[in-house]
Order: sequence, then structure tokens, then C-alpha cells
Amino acid sequence: MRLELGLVNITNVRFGACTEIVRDELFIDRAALIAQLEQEPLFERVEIELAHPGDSCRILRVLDVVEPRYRLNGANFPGALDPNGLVGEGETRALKDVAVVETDQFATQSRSIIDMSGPAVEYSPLCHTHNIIVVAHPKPGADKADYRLAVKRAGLKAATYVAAAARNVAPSEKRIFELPPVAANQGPKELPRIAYIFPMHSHQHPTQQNETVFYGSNIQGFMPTIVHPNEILDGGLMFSYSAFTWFAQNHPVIHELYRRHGHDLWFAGVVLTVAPVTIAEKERNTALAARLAKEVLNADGVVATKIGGGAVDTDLMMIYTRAEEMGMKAALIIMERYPDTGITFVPANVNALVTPGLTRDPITVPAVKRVIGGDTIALDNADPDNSNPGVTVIPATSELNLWMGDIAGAISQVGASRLTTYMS
Amino acid sequence: MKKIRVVHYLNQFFAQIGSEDKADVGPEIRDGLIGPGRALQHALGDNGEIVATAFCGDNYFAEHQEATIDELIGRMAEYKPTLLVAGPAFESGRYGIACGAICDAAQQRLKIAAVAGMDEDNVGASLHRKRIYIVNSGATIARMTTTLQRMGALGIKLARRESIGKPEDEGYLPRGIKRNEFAAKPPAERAVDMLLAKLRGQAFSSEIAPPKFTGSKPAAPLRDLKSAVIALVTDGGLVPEGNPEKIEPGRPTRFTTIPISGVTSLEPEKYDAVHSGYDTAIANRDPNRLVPLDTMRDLEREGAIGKLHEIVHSTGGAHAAVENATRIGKDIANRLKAAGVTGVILTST
Repeated sequence: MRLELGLVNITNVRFGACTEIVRDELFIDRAALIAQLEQEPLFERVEIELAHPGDSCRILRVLDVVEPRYRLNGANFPGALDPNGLVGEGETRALKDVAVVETDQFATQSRSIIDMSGPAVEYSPLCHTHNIIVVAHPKPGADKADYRLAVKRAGLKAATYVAAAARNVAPSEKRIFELPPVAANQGPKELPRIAYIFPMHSHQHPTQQNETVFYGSNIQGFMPTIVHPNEILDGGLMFSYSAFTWFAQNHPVIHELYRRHGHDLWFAGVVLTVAPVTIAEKERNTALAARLAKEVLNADGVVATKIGGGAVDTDLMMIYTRAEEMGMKAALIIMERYPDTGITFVPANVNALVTPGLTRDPITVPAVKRVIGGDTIALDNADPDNSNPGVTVIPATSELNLWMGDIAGAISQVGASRLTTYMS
Repeated sequence: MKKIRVVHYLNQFFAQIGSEDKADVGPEIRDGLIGPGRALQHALGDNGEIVATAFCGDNYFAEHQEATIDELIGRMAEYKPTLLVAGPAFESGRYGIACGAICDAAQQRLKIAAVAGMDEDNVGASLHRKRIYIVNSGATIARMTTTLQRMGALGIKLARRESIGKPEDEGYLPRGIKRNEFAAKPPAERAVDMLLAKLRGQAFSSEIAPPKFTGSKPAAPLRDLKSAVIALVTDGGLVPEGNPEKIEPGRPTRFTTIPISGVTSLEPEKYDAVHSGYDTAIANRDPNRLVPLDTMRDLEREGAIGKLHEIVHSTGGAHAAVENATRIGKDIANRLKAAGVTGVILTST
């Protein structure tokens, strides 16, 4: 299966009379986009704002971030936005250096921000994109959970709407993602076969019944299965929480395995799974995931990552242990949260862990001129431990004493960041 | 830039009062520097000035620790210092403990910067390295001058609230506190590198060390349930409605006690579950499914167990620091033991 991702160069994003790309500039018909998003019955009104790299601007209450993509040969985000269909094959256009940022207007306690200038830009790729921000105001009485799903749908819609302008624009760069069917996926003997085991969600926070995570499924009761890596890159997966969809579309581990495929490793494939909540299900899913990597993908080694809180650490350790028991080698990417807690569930046999960083590491970001997505932030600047979260509310333009994990996109659990950690 | 006002703490020997025979000398504070203070002043240069030297005999400090700290902190405050430098104590255990304790107290009570110096195997280091910066002095006075240079340099940074570098660059003992730093390669690439090195049998090093736990011996099984006193304990965050004691939903430092005398079932309108690590909807709908009080009352009535302990102990266990979790656990266990409880049902989430 072959995916041709055409990257369309975009140097600026502006509002214009119609949505089009002219000489590397994306123009957006603001009223037309708003009208599309306001079709959502839970929204009273929708605002669309723009923020550019270098602006003295802060985006608040960030819920999800999506890279604008448009598939020339079929459905976009099938099951979540378009009706059923398959992705990962054919041609897709992507707007380079552009992102759609969704804000959750119920999330007044959220500290998730994107700063377009200042120290935050050293850490997150989402501070370097021209950001199209969706601020959807809920109707009075709207259900919070349903509203959240509606905002995520609106983000997909906006991303697809603007990327459709790239339909007839020649890409400045083409990236090919191609892996044959499992039986035909044979490399030279000397290259180790590497599989990626990917728990895409932890049901410690269960999905809503009507939530669309993988191909429109709420993934409740999801069992480990082989998927083509392109399904994840091309709009098959939208994260529920704890990670931004942008990092599924630009998945660091899948990109890395593709990049080295045929050089120093052979990309054997992807096992997609979830972290369930009971011990029996955890044992079953982790063993089956390792089994699929070993017996179906014939892997010599596995990389695994997680999405979610500390509960999934156990699943990762079980995947690692089962994989090594079956004769494979394993390495894990696991985010650290608290400076003094460590990762509690590390059995003695686990010796290959990579950290994308520590979320509770302080970072101070300076005052800004403009904020989008809210006027205030629930934060006590004088209380670095944030011991009473949400008690103090300050103007969002202020200098803020935050945690690294509050900078949206600075640390992604799937292995994107510029960071590691050291013991001080 | 304003000069940093420094107080230097020494023991009786380095304060030139006398050696072991003067180890019971009480606390005192004098203007200006004494002995090793000269090298410290040299290290501080124009950035700071030693305004006073505090000292105490090692034995006296050990035997009257709290009172000595109270007195020294009170008298130090009169000098309006912004930095306390203590030691170096090298391998001297009593001196090391004193340096650590006085630095810890100065940080907390005077809200000033503090840095101690001692050998990494000094018992004072293991007691205090998590909370204060301790420069590794080595065991003998051979490294006195270089140690004081490092203590001075680190003290200036701390007093000015500048960012502190890595242990190997600044010379302090790792405190067990993780920090971020930029990496040469992204995590996905490092993970694949590590895996390939492992497959090739080459050297690699994990970026996260496994935690160190002190093992505990399980108690012997209860011989007779019919005479057992059973307590219910949870880390699932059960609290009385409205959480009056403001028990933390995560990162717990405390626990709460919930009296259940005469209560046969946990009614949802009287209790809440506060916990940042799981969806509390089901527990809030029926708190008995978090803490099985209803079933335990049945068993008590049927005589299957002797008696249910009339207090539920509860905390919110998400992301607990091992240190706090250990303390909370010991505290609860001691209370249960004192109350004559013979068995405990722990419900976790």
C-alpha cells in the first residue's frame, strides 16, 4: 500500500474573499468557514482566528490540533467526518506549516496553551505553524462531553475545508509511505525486523459512546490488531485525549521506522491496541499484541509507546515483558510526569526506556499582547506547586509560571519532543 | 548588583574553638568570618560578603537539635542574610547532619538560599540531599578549597535564583529531582537506536532508572475470620460529600478518616470520590463499589467476620510520590494496629 503525501508550501495564511492558495499564501473565506462550522447544532456561534509564528499571541484551552489534509482519492477522516471509507492509499495533500487548533470553551481550568513567540517556541512544533483557531461557543445547556466531540468534529471539518484549496496546487515536496502486504514484506536477512506496538488510548478515561477514535469507532472493547501504518498517518486515527491528532498524522515512531526502513532496519508493521482497565483484559491485550508482532509480523524487536496516565505504564511494561519472553527485544517511550515520583511500575527486567521529557518541569512564559480562546487562565503564579488548581484566575495576557506539559505539543507521548531528562 | 549577605555555619573544630573535647559547646554566632570562611569569602568575591559565622559543638547539636536550630535561625535572622553556607563537613556524620538540618531550616523558615558541603557517604547527605543542595566535598579536607569554591559559586546562583545546572557541572549531589534538557535526537529516533543497539548486543543505557523500593514482609494469614477486626482502606479518593478536608485528588500528602459507626451503606449523596487517575462516575453513583461497606456489614451481621473497624481511611492515590505514599501507609497502619485491627481490605483503583 502506497501513500503519496504532497506537501504544499504555505508561507502565510490570511482571510480573503474565497478560500484559495495563491503564490504560497493560503486565503480563507472566513464567513464561509464559519457558516460551515455553525451547522453544528450545539454551537451558538463560531469564531475563526489566525495566529502566526513570531506573533505576541497566546492560544488558550487547546483541545486538539489537526494538520490540514485533503485526500484526492477518497474520504477524509472516515467515520469521524466523512462516511465510511479507507485511508492510507493514494494521494493526499498536506498544508505545510499550517495547523487547525481547536479550543474547548468549557475548559476554563485548562492550562493547555500555544505561544507564538517567547521561550515556548523552543519546545513545540505547534508554535511554528500558522495556526487557524476554532473558538466555538456552546449553546446554553449544551452537554460538555457532546460539545467536546462537536469541537473535535469541527476541527476536522475546518482542516479538510482549508486543505481542499490545495487540490489543484502542485506540492513542493512528495513523501512516499509504502509498505507491502505482510506476506510480501520481506527484507534482507541482515536487517532486524522492527514492529511498533501502539496502545492508542487508555480506557482509564473511557471514550464516549458516540466518540470517534479509530475509523469512527469508540474503540471500547478494541482488541489488538495489525493495521497498515498509513491508516494512522492518513486520518484513520483521532486521539481521544492526552495527545493531539497532529502527532498521529505526523507520527514520530512511524516516520522514524519508515525513514530507516531498508537502511538499518526493516519496518515489519504496526500492532494497534488499547489499554483496558481490568487486569484480565490488560494481560490478554498485551500478550496478544506481542504475539501479533512475533507470529504475524515476524518481528525481531518492538518499540511501544502509550497514550494516557500512569495506569498505562503497566500495559507498556507487560508488552515489553511478553515481547522479550517471546524472544524479541523491546524498547519503550514513556513520558515522565513528576520530578520526584519517577516511573513507579518498572520491573527489574525492563532496561530500555526513552523519555520524551518531564511534564511538571517549570517554564515561565512572558506577557503577550493578544490571546485567543479565552481571557483568563486558572493559575496561581505565586504557587509553583499549583496546590490549589483552578482557585486563582488571572488575565491570560500575563506572564505565566507554567509546567512544560502545559505547552501544547512540547511533549508528545508518541515520541515527539526536543527533550530528555536528567537527575538534578 | 546587590551584595549577597552570607552566614557561614561551622562546627567547633573548624570554628577554632577546639576539637572533640569541645564538642559540647553550645550554639553561637559572631560577626564576620572564621577559619574556612576565608576561602569561602575568596570564592564569593565581590558577589557576596560573609556577615556572620554561626557555630556549635557537634555533640551539643546532636543532643539538642531542635532547640539549637531554633536559636541559630533566630540569631541568623538578625543579620538579614540571603544565603546560608554550611560546612564542608567531609565524612563527619554529626557535623554533616547539623549542616543539612540547619540548611533545611534556613530554607523553610527564613526563605533564603542554602548550600551545604559534605561527602556523598555522609549520613547527613542521605538525610537531606532531597531538600537541599549539597556539594560533594569528598571524605577528607584535601578538597577544602575547591569545595568552598563550588559552594560559593552554587550559593551565588541559588541566592540570585539563577537556573542551576547539572550535578556533574555544579558539583552537587543529585537530589533525585528530574529536570528537562534538550537532546541531540528526538525520542523516537533514540528509541529505535536503543532497540537496534540491544539487538546487536551493543551497549546502551536506559534513560529512566527503575524505582528503588524497600521490600515489606506480608503478614501471616488470619487464622480465624470470625474473631477478626477488619478495616477498610482505599486510595480511590473516597471523601465525605463536598470534600471538607480538601483531600488532594492526586499527588496526595494526606489521608482522611471517615467514621462509619451506624452506617450500613455508603449513600451517594453523602460521599464523593475525588481522584485524578480514573473516571469517578461509577464510584460517585454507588460509593459501596469503591469501598464495599454494604457487603462488609452483611458479613459482620452474618458473623463471617468478628467486627468491622468503625473508621475508613482514604486518600487519592494518583501519582503519589513514593516518599509520601510510604508515610501515609505507615501512619494508617500504625493507627489500625493501635486500634486492634487484625485485617485490612485495601481497595485500589
